[in-house]
Amino acid sequence: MATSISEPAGAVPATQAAPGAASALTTPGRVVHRPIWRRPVTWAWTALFVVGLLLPFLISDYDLFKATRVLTIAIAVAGLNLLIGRAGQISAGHGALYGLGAYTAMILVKELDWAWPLAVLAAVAVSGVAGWLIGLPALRVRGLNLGLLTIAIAAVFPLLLNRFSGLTGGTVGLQLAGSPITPPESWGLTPEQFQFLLLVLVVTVVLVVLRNLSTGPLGRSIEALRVNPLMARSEGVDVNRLTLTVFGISSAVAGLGGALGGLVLASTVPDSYSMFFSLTLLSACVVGGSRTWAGALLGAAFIVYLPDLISQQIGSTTGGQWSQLVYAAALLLTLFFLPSGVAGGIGRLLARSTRRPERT
Amino acid sequence: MPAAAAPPASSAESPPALGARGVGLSFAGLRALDGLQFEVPAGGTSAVIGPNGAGKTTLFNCISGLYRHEGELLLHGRPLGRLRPHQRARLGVARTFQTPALLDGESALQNVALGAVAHSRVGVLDSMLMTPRRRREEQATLEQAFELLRRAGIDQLADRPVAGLPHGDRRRVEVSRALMSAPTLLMLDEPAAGLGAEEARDLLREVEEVAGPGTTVLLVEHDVALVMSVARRVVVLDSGRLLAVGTPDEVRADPRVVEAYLGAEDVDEPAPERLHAVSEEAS
Repeated sequence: MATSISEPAGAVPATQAAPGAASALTTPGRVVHRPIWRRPVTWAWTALFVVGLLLPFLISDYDLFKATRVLTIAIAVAGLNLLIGRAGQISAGHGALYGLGAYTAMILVKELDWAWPLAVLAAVAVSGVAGWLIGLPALRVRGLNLGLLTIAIAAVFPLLLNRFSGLTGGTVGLQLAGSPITPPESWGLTPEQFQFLLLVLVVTVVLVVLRNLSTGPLGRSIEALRVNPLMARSEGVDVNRLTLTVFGISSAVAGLGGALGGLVLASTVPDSYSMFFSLTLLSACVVGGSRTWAGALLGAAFIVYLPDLISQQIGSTTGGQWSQLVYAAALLLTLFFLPSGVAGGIGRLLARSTRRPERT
Repeated sequence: MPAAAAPPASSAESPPALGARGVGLSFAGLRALDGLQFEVPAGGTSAVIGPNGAGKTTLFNCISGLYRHEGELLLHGRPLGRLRPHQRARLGVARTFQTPALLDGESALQNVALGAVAHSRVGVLDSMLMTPRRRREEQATLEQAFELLRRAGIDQLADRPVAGLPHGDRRRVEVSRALMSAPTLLMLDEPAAGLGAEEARDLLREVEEVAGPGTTVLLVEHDVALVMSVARRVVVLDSGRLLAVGTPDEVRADPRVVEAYLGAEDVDEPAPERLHAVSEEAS
């Protein structure tokens, strides 16, 4: 699967071959597709995928548990990348959609005894519909106002969870005795190993699907929506429908991450999905690089491991506040010095060092 | 193409490419367009001219569906009513912008391929799952986009990001994108701006040739001499009102046009600030 993730489009310096050329190039007279052995980015993703499959057998279950959390958050950040990096919209409320996915899955598993895969699918659907609805105001407001509007959603979500305590367990949230995501006994895997491998597969599928969405006719429409909605309209793009579609898909993806995250943890509490969590996701998106898919992984790793690192250095009591400060600083520094994010910056560096003489 | 060619016989049967019936539009009390009534014959090139602020681009925006307006616009006899811009694009309305509006991060090829979106049959699921339909359509789109770049003489730029291209090439990429949607009405907003006289004429000739007989080209143009030499019908606007409409010869002879727009009976002696481009063209 990973082999079809090709180079992320966009955010390239003007001197570099254009990103659309990643899979289709022109040679004199016709359009050809670059053979698979000449796509370094494809190889890098394949290698990463293989490492992901081997990792559960190399590191401790505790470390795996952390890494699994990185992957569930990376799914949400990838959804945010589609929305922000590709479509030029903004959502400061994706933490709420992640939480909505987690709660939906937990309620279905705990109260209604659903099998976890079905609960996850239902959570995806619920979050997708919610995202579609959040997209409605985006048809009218843009930019800063849309940011404020979605921040309000992020702020209200934990309050709603407390308000409907009959369903959500109120401030104590919902807990299961253990994660329902367990391997069949004959496989000989620990739950942590199984969960991580599952997440590797899910992340791969999500990234491939999102990458497919952001190329070809739909990808061009999304790009046009970001660059110039007026032009997009006159080119035949149903801008309203596309905006809602992108909001829906992005939110469904965030809900998928949340559902898996909640079920792996076997616990959901309102505090996990505060407004701060939404803003953290946003900073993961920007720091990683909103226009690269690798950026979703980097950004998620950043926000999961950073508080740990800081707690180790400073002590756990004040570590939380310090990590907020570092998020903010990282966000500002990225915006100033690496506007295309860490992954975008690395990609640009690689492109510069491996660039072939330009064709004229 | 000979100047002011007689309309081909077909125009007698086929409805006009564009009809305007009482088209009007106000912006905050300002009358941008007022009671426009004219027809643009099907086939060939026609033009809308007028001084700055005459409402030329506003008229294009109305035809594109970007502005809601009074009155009725008809595309090949079919009322456009309140159809939204993307629906009009699917009916065959394509346009370029005064300043080329391109996807700057993308290659020339990808930019031209965007023009195929209007008639794309690929849905969201096709895209997500990379179905054979999606692959087939994409391959055909890229081949056709490349062919259009070749015909525009810029296929060597296919893989280059358009951000760094010179103005003339950007213009060609944008026109190629418009042609990509196989339009029946192709609106070019000042295609000659920033181009030399010869280059502009070449561009228009190519556009007519590539577009074929099924496409009507409608220009907004400042360069009156260029318009008079290529257009079958000329629509003259002034302050949002229709001043005259007819063949280049009729328009040139119209006393109202001469008085209000040309400022002199002979195009050789234009009012300088209104007809800046004429002097270099007139012979």
